[in-house]
Amino acid sequence: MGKMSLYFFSAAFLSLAASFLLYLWYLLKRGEGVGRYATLVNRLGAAFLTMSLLFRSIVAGRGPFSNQYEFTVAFAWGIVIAYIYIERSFQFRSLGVFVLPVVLGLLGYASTVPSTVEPLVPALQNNLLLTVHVSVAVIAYGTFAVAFAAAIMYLCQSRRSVNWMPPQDKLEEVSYRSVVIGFPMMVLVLVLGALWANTAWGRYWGWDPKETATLVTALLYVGYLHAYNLRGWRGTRSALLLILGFVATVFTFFGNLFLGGLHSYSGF
Amino acid sequence: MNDSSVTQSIISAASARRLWRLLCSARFALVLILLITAACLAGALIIQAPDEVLRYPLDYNRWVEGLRPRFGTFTVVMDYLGLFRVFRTWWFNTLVGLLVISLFVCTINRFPALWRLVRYRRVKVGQSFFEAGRYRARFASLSISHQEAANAAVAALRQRHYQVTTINEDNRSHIYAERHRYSRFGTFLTHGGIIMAIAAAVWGNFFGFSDNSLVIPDDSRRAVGHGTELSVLNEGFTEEDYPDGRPRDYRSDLVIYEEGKEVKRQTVRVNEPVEYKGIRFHQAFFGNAAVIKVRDTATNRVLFEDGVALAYRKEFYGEARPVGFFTLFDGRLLVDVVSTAQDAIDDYIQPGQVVIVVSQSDNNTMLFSQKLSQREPFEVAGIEFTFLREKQFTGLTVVKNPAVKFIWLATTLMVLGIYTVLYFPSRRIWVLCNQSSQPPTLFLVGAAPRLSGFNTEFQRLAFALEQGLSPSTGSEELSLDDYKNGEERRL
Repeated sequence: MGKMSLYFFSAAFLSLAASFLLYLWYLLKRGEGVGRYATLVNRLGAAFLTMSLLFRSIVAGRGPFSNQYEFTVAFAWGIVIAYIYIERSFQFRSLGVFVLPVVLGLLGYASTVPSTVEPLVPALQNNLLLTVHVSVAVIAYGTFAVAFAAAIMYLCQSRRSVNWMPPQDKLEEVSYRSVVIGFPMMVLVLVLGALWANTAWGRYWGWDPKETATLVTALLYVGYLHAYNLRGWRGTRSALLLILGFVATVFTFFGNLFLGGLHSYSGF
Repeated sequence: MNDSSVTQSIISAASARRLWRLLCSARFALVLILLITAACLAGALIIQAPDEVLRYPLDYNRWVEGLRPRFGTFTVVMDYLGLFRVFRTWWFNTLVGLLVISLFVCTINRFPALWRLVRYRRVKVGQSFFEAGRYRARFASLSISHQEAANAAVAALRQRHYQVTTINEDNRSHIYAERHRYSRFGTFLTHGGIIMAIAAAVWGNFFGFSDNSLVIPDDSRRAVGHGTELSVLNEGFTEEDYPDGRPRDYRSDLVIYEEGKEVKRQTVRVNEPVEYKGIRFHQAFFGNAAVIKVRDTATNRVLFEDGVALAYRKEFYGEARPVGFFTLFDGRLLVDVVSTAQDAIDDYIQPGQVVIVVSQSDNNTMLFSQKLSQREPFEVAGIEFTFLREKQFTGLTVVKNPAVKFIWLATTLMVLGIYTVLYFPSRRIWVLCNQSSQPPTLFLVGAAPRLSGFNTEFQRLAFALEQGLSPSTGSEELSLDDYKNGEERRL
C-alpha cells in the first residue's frame, strides 16, 4: 500500500509535468486539440495524486496530513483540484501554464523530504480535527494559488496587451471567484484551529507564530475583499494584494520549519 | 450665545462629522486591516517574549539582554518599538480598538439605509434608469402584448428563483425581481461577530484565568488556588514512546477534590482534558521530581515529606539546571532542590543526586547548600534532610474562561456572515414592458455586487427571455456572448 502511494505520486508528477508542457504548447500554437489533451492529462495527474493520498491514508489510518511530505502533496493536490474547477468554470486553459509550475515545485520539494509513514505524536492525536482542519487548509491554499496565477496574468496584461491571455476583467473575476472559495475556508481553518487549540492547549488563541502567520494570510485576503471594489484599489493594487496573499500562504505553509512555537512538531 | 461659541460649535460639529465619515470609510478600514496585518507579521517573524517573562520587568529586561547577540545594536530600538511584545503594545491595541470602533460606527451608519433597501421595494422606475445600469438589455419591436411579455419575464425570473413583484398599468408592466434579499445583512453578522469575539476575549481575560504552573509529582495532591476550593491528586503520570523513540502518549491519572471530597477522576491526555465546574485541566508538560523528607531530629517530627517537581530551570553553579522548591517553618525557609543538568554531562551533580539550597525567604540570604545522594541523610542544626527517590511530575494548564462560549458564538456569526455575503450575493432586476414606446420594447436592467458572477447569469436570463418573447425565432443563431452589457437585440 505504501509503495502504491509512492508509485501514484511518481505517476502524478510525470502526468502533471506532461500537462504543463501540453498547456505551454497550447499557448504557443493555440491548438484546441492540444488544449483538450492538456486538460485530459492534467485530470489524469489529479486522479493519480488523489490515489496517492488515498493509499497513504489507508496505510496511515488517518488523513495524510501529519508531516511535511504529506502536507506538501496535499497542498499540491488542493491546487490541482482548484485549478480544474476554475478551468472548467471559465474555460480558461492558459491559466494552467501559470498554476502548474507551483504544483510541480511543491511535488519536487515533496520528493526531497522523508516520505515514511510516521505515527502521530500526542498533540496530533485527534483524527477528526486533524483531517478537517488540514483538508480545509489545503483547499484554501489551493484556491489562493489559482488566484495568484490569475493575478500574475492580470499584471502581465496591464503592462501590455497580450493576445493569448484573457481580458483583464475575466482575470479579475477568476481571482475573485478563487478567493471566494478559499477565503471562507481560511476562516474555517482559523476557527477549527482555535477549537483544537482550546481542547489541546487550553486556549483558543495564543499568538503562536504559525497561527499568527495564518491570521496574516487571512487578513491579506480580508484586505483584498475590501479593496477589489474600491476606486483606486481595483485592478493592479488588488492583484498585488493577491500576490502578497499567496506569498503569505507559502510562508505560513513552510512556517513549521523556521517559526517554531507549538506547531513545530509537523515541521519535518 | 456669542459669535465665538457659535463658531466653536460649528467647528466641533464639522470635526465630528469628518471623524464619523472617516470611521465609516472602507478605505480607512482597509488601511487599519493592512496595518494590523503588518503588525501581526512582525509578531510572527520576531521572537516574542513569553508570558512568564512579561510578568516581571526584571525578567523581561534580562530576556531582552539575552537577545543582544542576535540583534546587536538594533535590540534597543526594537525593544523601544515593542517589537518583542507586539500583541501587548499600546499601538497594536489602539489599531485593534480603532478597527472595532470603525466596524461599530460603519454598522450603525449603514444599517438604516440597508434596512430601507431591503424593506421597501422600488418596483416602478423611470425609463432613464434602464439606460444607465451596468447590466442592461433591451428587446425592441415586441410582437406580443406588454402583459404577455411581462408574463414571459416573470416566468423566466421565477424559474431562476427570483422573488417577483409586478405592477401592471394600461400600456406598461413594471417588474421588480430579487434574489438573496437578506444576504446584505451578512456583513453585519461578520462585523458583529468580530466585535463580539474581541469583547469576549477581553471579558475572558478579566474574569477568567489561565495558569500553566500547576505541577504535581506522582502520588501528590496540590491545591488549584485562584479562589477555588479544588485540589488535584496525580495518581501517576505515564509517558509512552514508539519503538523509534517518538512520543506516543502522555497521560495523567487525575482525581479532583472539592473541599476535600473526591468529585471527579479522569485520565487526562493532550487532547482529552478534564473539566469540572467550568475549570479545565490540560496535560501540558512533565518532568522529574525528587522526593524529599525533612525531619526534626530532636522530636522525630516529619516537617516535610513530598515530591518536589523540578519544573523550572535556573542557573546554579554556572549551568542551567532543573529546579524545584518547597518551604519550611510556615514559609520562613525556602529550600531549592537542584537536579543534574539534562543537556550535557554534569560534573557537579551526578544522576541520582540533588543539591539543596536553603535560604531565608524574607531577605533571600542563603544559609547553606548541600549535595544529597539517595537515602543518605544530611543533618544540620537538628534538621535532617533526605533525598528518598526520584519520581515524575505532571504539568497541567488550568483554565477558566467564562467567555469561551461567546467566542464560539462570535466565530459562528462571522463564518455565517462570510458565507452569506460571498455565496449568496444579492441580485436585483427591473423589467419594464412598454407597449406605448415606439417600437414596443422590453427593458431589462440588473444590479449585483461586482465580480459576483452576475454577468453570466444576466446574459443567460436575457437569452432565455429572448426565447420566451419570440419562441418562433429559430432561424437566428444566438450565442450568450452576443449579450454584451447594454446590447440591444431586435426581434
